[in-house]
Amino acid sequence: MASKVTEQALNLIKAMPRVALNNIKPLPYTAFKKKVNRQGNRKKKGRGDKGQGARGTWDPLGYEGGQHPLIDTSPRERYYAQYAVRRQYPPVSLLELQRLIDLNRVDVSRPIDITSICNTGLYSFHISKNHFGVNLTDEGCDQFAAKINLEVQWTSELVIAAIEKNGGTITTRYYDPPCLAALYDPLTFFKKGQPIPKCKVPPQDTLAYYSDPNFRGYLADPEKVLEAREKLAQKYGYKLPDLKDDPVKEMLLMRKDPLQIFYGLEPGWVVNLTEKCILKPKDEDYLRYYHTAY
Amino acid sequence: MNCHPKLYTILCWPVGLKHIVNNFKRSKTVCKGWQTWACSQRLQSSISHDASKIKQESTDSTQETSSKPVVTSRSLKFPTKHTYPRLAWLESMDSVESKKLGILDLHPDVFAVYPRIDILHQNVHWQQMYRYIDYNFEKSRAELRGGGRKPWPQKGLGKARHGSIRSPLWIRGAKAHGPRGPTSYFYVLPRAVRGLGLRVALSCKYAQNDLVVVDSFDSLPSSDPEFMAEMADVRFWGYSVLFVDDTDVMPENIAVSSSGNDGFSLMPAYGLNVYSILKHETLVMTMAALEKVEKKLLEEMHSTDRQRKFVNTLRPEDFYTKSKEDNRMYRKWTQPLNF
Amino acid sequence: MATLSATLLRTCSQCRSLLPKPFNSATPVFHAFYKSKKCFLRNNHTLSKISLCRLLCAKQQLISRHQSTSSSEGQDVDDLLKDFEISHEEFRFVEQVLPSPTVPDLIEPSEFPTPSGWFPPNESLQAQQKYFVRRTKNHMLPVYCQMKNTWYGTTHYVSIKKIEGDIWALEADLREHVLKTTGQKKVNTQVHEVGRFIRVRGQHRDLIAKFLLERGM
Repeated sequence: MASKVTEQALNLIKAMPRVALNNIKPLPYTAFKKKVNRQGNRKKKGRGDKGQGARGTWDPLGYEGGQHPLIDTSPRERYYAQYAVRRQYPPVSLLELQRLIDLNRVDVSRPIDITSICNTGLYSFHISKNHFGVNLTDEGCDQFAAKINLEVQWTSELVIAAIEKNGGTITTRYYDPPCLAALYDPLTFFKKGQPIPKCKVPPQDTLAYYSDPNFRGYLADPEKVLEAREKLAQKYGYKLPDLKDDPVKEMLLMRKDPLQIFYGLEPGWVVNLTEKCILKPKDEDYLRYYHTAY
Repeated sequence: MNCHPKLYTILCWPVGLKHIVNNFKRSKTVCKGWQTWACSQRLQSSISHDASKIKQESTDSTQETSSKPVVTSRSLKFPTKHTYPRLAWLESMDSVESKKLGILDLHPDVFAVYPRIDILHQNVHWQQMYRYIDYNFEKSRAELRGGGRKPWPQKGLGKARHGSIRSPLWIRGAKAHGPRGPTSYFYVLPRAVRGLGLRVALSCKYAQNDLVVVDSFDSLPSSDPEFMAEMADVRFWGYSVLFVDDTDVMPENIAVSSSGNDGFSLMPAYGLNVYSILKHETLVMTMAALEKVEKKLLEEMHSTDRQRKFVNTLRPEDFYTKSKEDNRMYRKWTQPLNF
Repeated sequence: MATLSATLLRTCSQCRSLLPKPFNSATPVFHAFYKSKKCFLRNNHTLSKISLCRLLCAKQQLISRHQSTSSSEGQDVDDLLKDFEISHEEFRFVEQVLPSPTVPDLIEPSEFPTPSGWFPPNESLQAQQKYFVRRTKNHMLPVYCQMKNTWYGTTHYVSIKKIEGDIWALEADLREHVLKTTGQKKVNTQVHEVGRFIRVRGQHRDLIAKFLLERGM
């Protein structure tokens, strides 16, 4: 058997004295020695003796002694302009999604959304870093062979074609940060005992994307989406599978309400995990708040 | 001694005279339980590691000791293909001599992992250090009494220049970088290392035949400490024994009898830790505790939970025990003072 | 006054009370009014109901814990939010959303490789080797890329973990394989006998993964 070494080691300690507090020690050369600044705070602070180095009077980076610097010769391209307020979408590729499906990490018999991808524990995003959900990328679009109902936050045309070719459906959907927090970790959210939040309308600059039938936006006209499906099939040259006679048609056509964030659960409901029940308030003002979009 | 004494000098973990002498003193515990070991080893070698085949043989071997042998075969979660499940006797506590009730499958990922002694050391060091607070404190040159005046003029005396009698260069001066105030050595070991530490500790206990599995502690007939001491003596459990049950409400007999004996400790399954396992010579677990611990460790190995960094959410306010009024530097007098 | 209220105030759609119209800094009169009224939130009153609902949920849990204690103290909370329905039917949707604590069991696919190119470990091929590499809990090979940034440059490593059996035999085979396929003159490897892992210098992740798959790991 291949794992003989473990057997040998265990057999070895059988004959040895008992493994106890007095005879365990770390591996040699693994002790971490903490570096202590013996100079304290007063003297040279690790900057050496005298001169430019000690006083920190270096020329600024890119200064060429008065000569017109090289960096000025080319125009500026501000890659990081407005970085702090830009919306980010950490990517998942089609290949990774296919691997998750192959290894039974996501359930294909139910609609897949950001919660089912996060629940695998293999994908994570941070709301504090302006992450707004999944960007599904086209790596592995040729190998993709699953029939799914998918909901992501951002995609490209090729990805939509790859999924619809296999008879699946896809929607792009915006969630605001409080909703994303609930979707990212539903268990801790339900433990708080807060009402399920309603999803806000997308901000102005993304409204065009999420109401575009070409990107299967969730605010797009459903009839125009059907047209766009056929157009895309013609463009990429595949035959669109007919959904009418499909045995899983119901699952493939399941959609959330624009205000809804979990399938089957309405905004405003409160989940009680200890008693395994749902509290549905009937107050008029309350319901009006949770059923109006703004 | 089953082993040649000369071998011990070679095989000891840290080769030190004191340790070897200690081992000679404990010769009684060193050679304990070889009979049961040999028995289980014979079983292991002859039966090709199959629980269904073991059933028959174990009933044959236990027929002499008990009239009703109970063979417990368990369905192990997360099975592995490259090793085989380990076997352990299920014993009872109702008499001084050990009665074999049956034989158990133990998961090899918990009870037969590679003995990482360094991981054990990391765990023990963490357990000792995270609650240790160093109260050593040395006054600085500013805090020492005096030393504000220049001891003698800068020039004209032919002596070395000095500005303070509390300078670190002076006798009865301050220490330059002395220990300052209470220092916390708190840190958190990674979750995976903590889990592995427990699995290694249990594997070492099993390999050295220091792991005893009993059906339950309820069957202990007497609360007499001497009965328990005799039982430990006859069963070669050594001087210190750790009893682990799945709940923290223990039966009265075992609570009374172990409190009467030095070195015998009780512990619920949620309190099981590497330090206590290594501190005690023998680990006695009930069947329920064993299943709970094994399940917990296996689930930890196969969890989908993201490994998050430890963040202490406690604020200094959480440690205040006194009310705010008592902590005040001065007291507001509601009534005028009458001298 | 009537004209003033028409320009400055509006009735709330939810509670029919008077609220200030949306902020407009051009009208100084309104500005003063806005300050005096301490800023009405549009959904101020509904928010208070949300917090009440939270209280109710907490109360429900408390009652379930202590069945014997009477609920006379929380009576006024009940009065404020009477219309309230408890349903157990929709809880199955909650259970669908909750994550499974452990990695789900593998449903062995019929054809290999799967569409994403995954192979299961091959036991007959494994038996021919002196060594063995266990899969991770996610059924993947424990082959990891590492990168070290230092002042003298960037160094890439590939580490293979969870090795059982003869670790030196694996190292020798790996070394030979990397030399043969890449045509390098030498390859640097490190073997950790206690930690049971090997570290190879260079960007050879795919190469090593293929090497292990060929040996049925």
